[in-house]
Amino acid sequence: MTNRSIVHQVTRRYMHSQIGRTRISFIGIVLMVTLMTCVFVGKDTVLAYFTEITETHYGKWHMAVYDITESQLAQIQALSGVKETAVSQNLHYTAFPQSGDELHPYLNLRTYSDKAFDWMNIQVVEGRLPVQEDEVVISYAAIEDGAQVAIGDTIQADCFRRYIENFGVQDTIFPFLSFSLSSGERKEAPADLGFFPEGDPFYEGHREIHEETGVYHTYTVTGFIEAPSYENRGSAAYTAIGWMGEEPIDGNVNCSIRMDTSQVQEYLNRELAEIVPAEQIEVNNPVLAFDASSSDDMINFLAVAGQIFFLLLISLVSIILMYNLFQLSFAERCRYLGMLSSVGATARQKRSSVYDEAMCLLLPALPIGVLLGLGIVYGGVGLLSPLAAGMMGVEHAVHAVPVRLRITVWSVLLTIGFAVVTVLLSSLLPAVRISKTGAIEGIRGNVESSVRKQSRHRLSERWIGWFGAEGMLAAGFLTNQKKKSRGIVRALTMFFIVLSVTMYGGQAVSQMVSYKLRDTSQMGIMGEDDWEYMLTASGHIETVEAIAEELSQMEGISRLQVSYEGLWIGETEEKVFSQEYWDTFYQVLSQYYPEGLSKQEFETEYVSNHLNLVNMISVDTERFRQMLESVQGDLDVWDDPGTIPCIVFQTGEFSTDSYRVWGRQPSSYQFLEISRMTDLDMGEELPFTISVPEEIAEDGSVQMPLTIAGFGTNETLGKWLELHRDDFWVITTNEIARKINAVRGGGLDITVCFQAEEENTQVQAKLQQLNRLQEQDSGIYFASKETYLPETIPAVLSGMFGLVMKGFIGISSVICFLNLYNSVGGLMLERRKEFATLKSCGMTGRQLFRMCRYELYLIFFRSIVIAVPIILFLCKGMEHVMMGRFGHFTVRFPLGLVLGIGLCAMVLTVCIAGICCRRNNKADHYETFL
Amino acid sequence: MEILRCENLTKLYGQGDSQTVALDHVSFSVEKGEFVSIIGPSGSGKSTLLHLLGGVDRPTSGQVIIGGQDIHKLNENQLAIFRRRHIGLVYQFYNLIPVLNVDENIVLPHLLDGRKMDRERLDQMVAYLGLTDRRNHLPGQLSGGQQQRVSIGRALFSHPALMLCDEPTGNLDRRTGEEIVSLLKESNRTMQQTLILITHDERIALQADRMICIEDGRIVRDERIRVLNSASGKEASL
Repeated sequence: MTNRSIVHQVTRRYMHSQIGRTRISFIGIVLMVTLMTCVFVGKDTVLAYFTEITETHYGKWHMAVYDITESQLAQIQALSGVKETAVSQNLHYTAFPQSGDELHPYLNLRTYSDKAFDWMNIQVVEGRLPVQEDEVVISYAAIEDGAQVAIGDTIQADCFRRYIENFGVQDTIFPFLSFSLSSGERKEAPADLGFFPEGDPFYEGHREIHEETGVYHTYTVTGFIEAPSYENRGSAAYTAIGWMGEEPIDGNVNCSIRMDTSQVQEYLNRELAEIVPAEQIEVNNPVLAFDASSSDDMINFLAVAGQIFFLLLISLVSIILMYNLFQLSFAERCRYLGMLSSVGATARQKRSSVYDEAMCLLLPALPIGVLLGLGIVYGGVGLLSPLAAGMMGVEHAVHAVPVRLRITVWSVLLTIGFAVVTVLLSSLLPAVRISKTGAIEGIRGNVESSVRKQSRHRLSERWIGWFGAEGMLAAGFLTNQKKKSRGIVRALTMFFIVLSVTMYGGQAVSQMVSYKLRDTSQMGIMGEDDWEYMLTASGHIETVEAIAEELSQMEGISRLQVSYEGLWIGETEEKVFSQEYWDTFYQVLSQYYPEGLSKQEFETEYVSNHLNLVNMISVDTERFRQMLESVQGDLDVWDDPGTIPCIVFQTGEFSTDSYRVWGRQPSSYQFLEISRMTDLDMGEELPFTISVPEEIAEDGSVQMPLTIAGFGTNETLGKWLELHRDDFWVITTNEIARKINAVRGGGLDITVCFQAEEENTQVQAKLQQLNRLQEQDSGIYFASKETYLPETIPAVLSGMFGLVMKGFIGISSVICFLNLYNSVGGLMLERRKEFATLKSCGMTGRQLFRMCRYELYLIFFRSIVIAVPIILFLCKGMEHVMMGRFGHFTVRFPLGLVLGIGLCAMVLTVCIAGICCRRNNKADHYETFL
Repeated sequence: MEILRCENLTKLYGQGDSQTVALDHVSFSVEKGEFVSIIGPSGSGKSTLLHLLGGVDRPTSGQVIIGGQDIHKLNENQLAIFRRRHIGLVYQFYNLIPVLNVDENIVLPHLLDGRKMDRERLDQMVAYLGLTDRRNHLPGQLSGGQQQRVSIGRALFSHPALMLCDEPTGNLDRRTGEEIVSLLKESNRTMQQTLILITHDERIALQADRMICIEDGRIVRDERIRVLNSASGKEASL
């Protein structure tokens, strides 16, 4: 038997004799490998799976270029990064006399190659796809709207391009279409531009012009398809798709591209940009977002940051767990290692005993951990996919896209590599210490002795008076045996740091994701907990008010709330806006001026042209009073009949997404939160001007100064209202809103929210009646919460991030807990001689437990003292990095949650100590005296 | 007056073929104030007997009656309280609490009993032990003799009726060992404490009033020492 093998034998026997400890170490390593597998394989699997699901909705293409010539198409197809292309052609519009909806009088006619049909996931509802050049399928939305067309019918297509001309004197802006027309200008209408029926005021300054393209064709309808994702219900046309055939009709074509996703940015900025103008290029961001290769740097940054965050978290937790395990093992084996040393074991041999132990644990843990990780990934994706797909509105895709594990050589190698490095790193320090331990100190077991020869330790009678002998022992232990308690301090400190930093980081990333990706088209919406159904209308106020009145009288309807809402309902003055508002506005605008935006330019271009618009939302009197109390507002203002009280919403935000500068691109994304929209004080007057018809006021405006009764924020009003965007919001009562609406002659939207007992037959009938009201296109929109707040892909990404984060926090907590259990248990075991002595001195089991509790409280306190600055440092560091990249916002530190978990950690630690004490009491340790 | 009596004290370790008889029906009694030495070869059962007498271990069968109380009929809690009030234990390797200083180690059983700190008595005890200039030191900062003095101080502080010493000089040099035995004898004489001392050293054993010899878990000799101890002027029988 070689020297190496005898050391190995001794190590193996030691591990066997300490089977409990060995098991915990093994479980810890298995969990670590499992987590790493989840990170590497899980990442690939989840991203690939959700990419496939997203492709079923948004199409399989990565980039698309529109309206290109044949030579441009050839150039694109020749690019090395382009893997495949699918060609389609936009034949523009043709009249659709069979339409059942006067707002959709056209067909938007396109032709697709076979590949394009596949990539765009065109789903047939009825009939079949076209296979000949004279066949066509039409969006099923047309049938739903009552179009008089059937399979086999023919469509006479006389194609034309659609132009809008502004012959009025004023420029026209279509804010939601990023489309504007100067006076006298004529432009091709954007695809989403709706149709204006005869008699619409639109025609007072505009005309729609059709320019024939020369394409005339007769098509036979072969089927109906689900409305493609690009079909906008607000546009003037339904989609109709024909088969392209071998060659497109003369003229420009569209080209969809599948490519090496890592080159998307480069292609966007250089390769494609040299062939076609940027406005003709589209990137399929929802699909690419899962691959961190979207055109949006910020989304990519968030995706990569998330991966790095989880990987660091796991590595850190694992290293600390392993390090503590080997430290404990070292402390326990000190004596036998001393004996080995005394019979000639070299430093290297002693070191190798630690590495032996590490490898003995790691080798079987690797396959188990990897398999467990694969199982978790497979099961997790399978379980989560219906939920996520449901949120994305692509439930059908869950069955169409089976879960497949994406195991690459790289992901397996990275898992094994990280696991081995983590274990070796963790065992390195204990191994070095063991190699330096002499024979005598090892046998005596005083390696850990921390007693300084010159130190003096005075008896603290006051301490003894307060906490008795147990307190004296606990204080002595913490003061004089710091090294022994280090394991627990480390474990607890790690517990706090991991939880706090993870929660903070998770919270920050979640906020960033939600700020970056949220739907900014939402105005104010009522707090989600408050309602199940919503009835809303622009105009028709009297009708909706009557319905609300009726609903309020019905049994089974509860928590009915009526509110009025007006976007840009009035104007205030420039001086109302705070300095913070202007500074933030300037910072965001500066992103559009890489050459620099001078303050003077800002003043003339932006401040003086600022529209000073005000949004208004109102609630009933009772709720307004509750809000006022919540924001600690001035009730005197409220009670004063001579004033028009309002609550000003002080929280605002600007970002390069929400504020765009025409013709410019921001140099980088920037999000900035505003904590004070105005510097006015409570009780001060807020200038407020509303536009009115000339019959009411000659200059077309009426002054209705509001009085500020309070200032609200997202925190203080979040439970009632969610208000987004960079607008200035005021909240007032329904009574005042009605007055303003009357003065303005309309313009406010009405919203009725309520909860309903669906089992009540009278309620059921009413709900059905409201549904029908909406179907009749009465201008009244009725929806349940689920249909009103459909989740978007970004919201799903955000939600999934939260879900994954919770899972990781859960598993990390288990590892931290194992670490804690091991450390407390190890310390108890190490001190069994001391405990036996205490018992021989007459210490009861209860006193022993009390002493342990005191020790743990002190350890807990010490851990917090160590952890808090580290947490603050890490959180500040993270904040610095994130804010530097993202902008500025306040991260809500989940203090309550962290404190709760901290308390749980303490209770758990005490419980572990209790279990160990009980076990210790039952065991006879008097042999340790011998 | 009888302070301690043990009857048919038996202690078995292990089970089946590997069962070992550590003590085999040991019976004897000790009078109050008596100094008894127990001798015997290694593994004869001396320390086991001492642990059973001190209530730190439970017998397989038999009784240990101290002051009329069968201590092994007490539950763990009661036994711990009995131990801190009536028994002082001194070990070969001192078994001091490493995190407590000299003062704290000495008063530990007293404080564990929920009693208030008796500073005057502590000062007297520290002076008696000759540790006045070491009272704020931790055990790791003391010599072996000093640690054993602390151990004796801890055992004596609560005025126990019975002092049980397990080879208290076994880890010390001869001179220091003699000092420790003198200290124990003095406390035995001045405080009228019953002293039972396990030793390998025949010279120390001969300083006792009575010597019990154990072999293979049985008492093979139990004799009074009849030699006149010139140092103490006390008559003893052999």
